[in-house]
Amino acid sequence: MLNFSDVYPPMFNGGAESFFYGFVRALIIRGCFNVDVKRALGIAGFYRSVATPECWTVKLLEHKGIFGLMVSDVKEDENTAECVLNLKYFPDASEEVLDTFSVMEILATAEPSYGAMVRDFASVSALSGMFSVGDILINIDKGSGQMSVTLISETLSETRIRDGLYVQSGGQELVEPMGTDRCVSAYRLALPFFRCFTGCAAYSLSHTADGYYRSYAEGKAVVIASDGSSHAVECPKNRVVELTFTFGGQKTPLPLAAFPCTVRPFWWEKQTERNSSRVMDSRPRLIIVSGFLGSGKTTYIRNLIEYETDKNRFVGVIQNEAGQSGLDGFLVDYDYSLVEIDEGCMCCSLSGQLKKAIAQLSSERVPDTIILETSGVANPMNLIDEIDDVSEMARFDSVTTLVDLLTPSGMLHDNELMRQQIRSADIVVLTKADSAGDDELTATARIVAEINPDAMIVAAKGNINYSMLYGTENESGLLANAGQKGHTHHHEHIGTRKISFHEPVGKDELLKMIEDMPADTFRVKGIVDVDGEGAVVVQSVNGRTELSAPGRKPPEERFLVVIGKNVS
Amino acid sequence: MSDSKISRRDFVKGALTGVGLGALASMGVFSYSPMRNIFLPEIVRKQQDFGVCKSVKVTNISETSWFENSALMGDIKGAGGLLVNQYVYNWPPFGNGKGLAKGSYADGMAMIKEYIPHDLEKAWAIVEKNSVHPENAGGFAALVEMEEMDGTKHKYLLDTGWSYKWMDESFKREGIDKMLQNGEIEALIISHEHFDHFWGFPVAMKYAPNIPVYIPEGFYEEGLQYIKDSGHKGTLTTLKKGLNQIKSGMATYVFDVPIICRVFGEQSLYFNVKDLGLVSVTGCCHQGIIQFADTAYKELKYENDKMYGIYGGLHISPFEDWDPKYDDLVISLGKWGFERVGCNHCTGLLTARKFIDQGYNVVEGTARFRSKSKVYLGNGDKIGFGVDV
Repeated sequence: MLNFSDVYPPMFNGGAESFFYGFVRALIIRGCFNVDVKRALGIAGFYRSVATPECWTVKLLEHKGIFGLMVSDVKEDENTAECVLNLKYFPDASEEVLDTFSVMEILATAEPSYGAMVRDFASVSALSGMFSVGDILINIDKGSGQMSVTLISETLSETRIRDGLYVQSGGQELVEPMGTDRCVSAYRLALPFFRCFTGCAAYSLSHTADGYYRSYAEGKAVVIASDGSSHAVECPKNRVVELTFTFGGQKTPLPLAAFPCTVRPFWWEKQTERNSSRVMDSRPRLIIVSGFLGSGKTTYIRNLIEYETDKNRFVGVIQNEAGQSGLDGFLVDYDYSLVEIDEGCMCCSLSGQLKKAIAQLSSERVPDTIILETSGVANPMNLIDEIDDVSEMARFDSVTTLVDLLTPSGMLHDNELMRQQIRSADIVVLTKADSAGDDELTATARIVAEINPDAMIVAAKGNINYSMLYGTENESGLLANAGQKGHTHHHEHIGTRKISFHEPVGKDELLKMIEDMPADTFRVKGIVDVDGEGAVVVQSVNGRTELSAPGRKPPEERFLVVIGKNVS
Repeated sequence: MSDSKISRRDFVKGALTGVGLGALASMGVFSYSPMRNIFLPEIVRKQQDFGVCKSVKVTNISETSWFENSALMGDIKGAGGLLVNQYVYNWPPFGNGKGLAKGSYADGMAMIKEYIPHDLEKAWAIVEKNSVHPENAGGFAALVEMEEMDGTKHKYLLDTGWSYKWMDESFKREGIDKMLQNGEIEALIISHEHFDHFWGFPVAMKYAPNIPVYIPEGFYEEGLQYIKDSGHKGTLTTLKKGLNQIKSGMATYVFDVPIICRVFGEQSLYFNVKDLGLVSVTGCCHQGIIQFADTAYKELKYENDKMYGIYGGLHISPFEDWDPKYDDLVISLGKWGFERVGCNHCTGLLTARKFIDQGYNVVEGTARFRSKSKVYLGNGDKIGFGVDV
């Protein structure tokens, strides 16, 4: 007996139609709550349309297009309730598979508002009638609490046009008479979504399928005449497939074990307890954030922590600031776990440290996301061995490198370490875009693209939408460029020095002291008591100095950390 | 098909460039004229009339649902994730002493039943011994005051928070205890079944056991039993999904969405304020601000067809959209045009800041009574719509 009321407590009180809208919506939403489950289901994103009629769209990780689902029929009698959902695939305008769709469908993808229309496709009459790749039928036996979920789809969905299709004025022929307008491998497109959907059902109902059956019938092709009438003709290549999974103790012709392993839903292995870690990967993902000194890493990470927290994910941060004091741990004012590797710079001698840090972070509770903030003078290329070493404990996601738009372009050309950081990135974020002009933005983006043509380049104006950056599975640039030899900061003669303060200083005196530091000082930061103002956080980058009030109770110590060339 | 060197999609698009869709001949699948129209969504606005009121005022009794987010998330993760039944966590007040993820409503209630609702200090002392992280429990509750067009005022309590101890203190701080005792508060509206909005229910019962209670459709068995076990003697109304008018110009709207920790359904309040427009008051807004605002636009009729103000949790969306640009877009377009925005901590600093960056008038708080940021309206802070506070 399946516990439908757990998923949709109002049950059939509002009628079968109300039930199925609520039930199907809840199945998918519940599949999206948990990041590990969402990944295992292969879901990249979900949208619920509030247009009338309601419909749902899902992006899967491995498909460029968007899957759509809408209720097309509901039936109910005393014993059973049944719902037919029409399944759509809206290809991306650049996708090759679009060539197999009809002229009308291709034209729809060329509409500038295609993406927006897809979101509410059920209320757009043209879209609700097109892009179909099959139906999903849900049948519920109210008495026994059993459910079956069936995909009905065609191996080759073909439409021909009796009189041909051409452009009226120029006479250019688009489809010859009796020619094929649409020949979509619908079943092949529908199956990945069906796996995801049955996975959502199994997860939401805490019940794996009992078994399956599958049947094939002869398919037809449809011939459309210019008067709008249509008739079906033989089509030997097309077969209609019906694939059913049963839930809740039904007797079924075939045990699940007979189901082809290449298309098994994710819950398959969960049920058999084999390799369950592979399908339900609960390792935290590891995001490396790199960037030159003062490029805005702390702000970037603070916002990322907030974003993850908002999505109910817990964050662990590993920091490795080149310096004797963990000031950045103090500046980030949010709720998360923090481990600091405080013994110099990881790029040279990290061996084993990352592993230790992840273990320490995970000792109380395993985070969902681990952010490794590399020291501003670190070269992520040197992390490759280390990442490999921790693959059991964390799933490497990507490297993000921040580049300050106010960086002189000469540095981008000449500073090999900065170039290496950019080269190793999957994502390059150009920070401080608010203060920079459009010309600087374009020029810097061009240089970055020359250094690393594969990276996604984003300009940070105000807030960044993190789901755009980390929503997809990135091919890691770090691993792709792994052949290149690392360049560490010792070769650049970069060092750090700490100045301790035992009593308050005058504000002017402090500013002058920072101003007088050598020209190749990259960064000064710390916390100092200023006459008449109390504790003040000092941040200075490339000659720009900011003093601000501490966000929360400051540490006892008063100091400045100076980072630059030839500092020791 | 067409030339093998050029893809069909490019060929089709190219053949029709500059010609227009109307030039397509001989298809008969759709009626082709006027072609463009079939690409336009059909927006149907119901514009249900639920009357009009003079003003609305909200007093934030407590918005600190819990005090340490890491402790809460650690518990959730440790208990098996976001779909685990909230009554199983062994959180207060349903602790049975067996530890994380080994609780049940029945076990926990058995330990405190005899003290509820008259001796909550005793009950909480037991709870503290048997629960996971009792010190982390806070709660959300707000006092909502609306004024009818003829000047008659009505008070409602929205939610009852979580910790008996913290909520009783918060009620006393804002004088809610007296208002409940005097019968000044007309009804208790529970936005949803979540621990931080509902589990402080006995605190309200201690002062007003006969108060009418409104809950949204979708409460689970344990939640319904809790209302009984807390000594509620008044009427209990379960509101169906969609619009439910309470007074002229005041309605609740029940959204039938699943929520984390196995909760289902959330209701929010809508007010139609004379000459100003629509004002919305939400608990957490788990359905997401996009759905919330779109629903109002589609379903309701309001003054000047303007969304004037909003108070409460403003989650943009509970899950990641497949087109993340969309979230930013709806905010940046400022299409809702809210003139007064009051956030609570459910909003998330990031979202609050997005609203501020886009020039929305976000009303600042005072960060008192353990509220952490001034970006939110914190504990003890007030916001008025059509009335000064």
